[in-house]
Amino acid sequence: MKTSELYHAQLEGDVLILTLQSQAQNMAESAAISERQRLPSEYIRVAATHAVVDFNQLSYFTSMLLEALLQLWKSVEARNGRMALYNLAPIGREIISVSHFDRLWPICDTREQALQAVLADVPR
Amino acid sequence: MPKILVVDDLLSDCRIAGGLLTQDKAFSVVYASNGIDALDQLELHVPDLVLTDLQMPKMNGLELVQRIREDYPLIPTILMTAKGSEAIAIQAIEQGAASYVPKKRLATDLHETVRRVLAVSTEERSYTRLMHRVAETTFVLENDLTLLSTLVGQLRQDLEQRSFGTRNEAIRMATALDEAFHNAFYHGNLEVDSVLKEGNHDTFHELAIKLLSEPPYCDRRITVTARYPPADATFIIRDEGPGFNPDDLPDPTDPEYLERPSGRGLLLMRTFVDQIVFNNVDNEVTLIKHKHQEISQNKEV
Repeated sequence: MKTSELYHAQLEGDVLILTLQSQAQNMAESAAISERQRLPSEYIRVAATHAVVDFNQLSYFTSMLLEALLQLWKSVEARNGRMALYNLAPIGREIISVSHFDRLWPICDTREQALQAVLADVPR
Repeated sequence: MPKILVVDDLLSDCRIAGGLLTQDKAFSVVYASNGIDALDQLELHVPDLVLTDLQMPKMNGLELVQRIREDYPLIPTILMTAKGSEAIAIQAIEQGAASYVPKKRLATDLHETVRRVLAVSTEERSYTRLMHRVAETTFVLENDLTLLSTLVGQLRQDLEQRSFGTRNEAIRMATALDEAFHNAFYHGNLEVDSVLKEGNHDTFHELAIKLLSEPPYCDRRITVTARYPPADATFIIRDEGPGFNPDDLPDPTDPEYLERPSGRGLLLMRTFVDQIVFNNVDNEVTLIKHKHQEISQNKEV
């Protein structure tokens, strides 16, 4: 659907699947992702309710990326959707957990589990 | 005399390669019958070079090249290829092999290829050994994210090569450095406040881009000093801004502030280093990481 040097975005039903590219862990590029995150947010506004984010290509990342995810989350939350993360390296899990974002976004091992987590018919 | 580890599941091919290398007594040779056996031998005796077959049971040559690249980055590898495996050999070179020799050309090309690769490797190893004896180094950088990002990578590599801990420890330290540089760049030298991110991030970034070309912001530098005493790694990051009070930042893990953009970088810095100290005007931060005694994947050089 859309590929940039920072992410690949595709829609599956009303779920936005965002695959972060390895450049997204780079500090300079993470600054850029904050600006460019409007595009995935735009998908959320017009075509998707939920989002799942694939971290497979990132060994670590910084608070800049967390803030970009937070922006995306605000769009998802505005549509009463859910967001889940998957394929995180151990340090990535630690960053999400230390920041307490695992309270907002479940951390899953696989894409299937992440999709299940956002599509599950349970009260949030 | 340089020691070569020859890896091949076919005993006859092993002996042919070994015989060619030892015929003028320029090299000594040890043998392994597959990738797993080779890694066991590397644990016991580190050779100067590994010469490996590509197709082997248990662990093939490509996998062995990757493991050696990760765990023994200073040991060069050369592949012996059979007809039809040239594409995989090229892939292996992309993943870190130093060279390859077709098996049918071993008699004519092996000796010279090994000699050439060893010459380059010896030079690189000497340079690395020299660099490991640098006890302190200082970088004075323009306020430039690309330079800062490159420095994060360089310091992470330094930590890995100095056997400072596991690879994960080096990544944790790199994360803390990345956050410290980010603070120095945006909040120190450019004096841009995180509060601007609470609405639209564009306001924050547009102001940062504007200030980058305006005095006094454009003239400010970031000074980074890295010290490597035996027990610790110490990194001092100083910007030329007026400083800020870290105690004024909210706790980003407090549910009330969870979705606000302030304080998260400092939280990650505190998580990933053992000690963090600000100077009295808070425009200089010192990050200290103690050397972990366990396990380093990279061997001392």
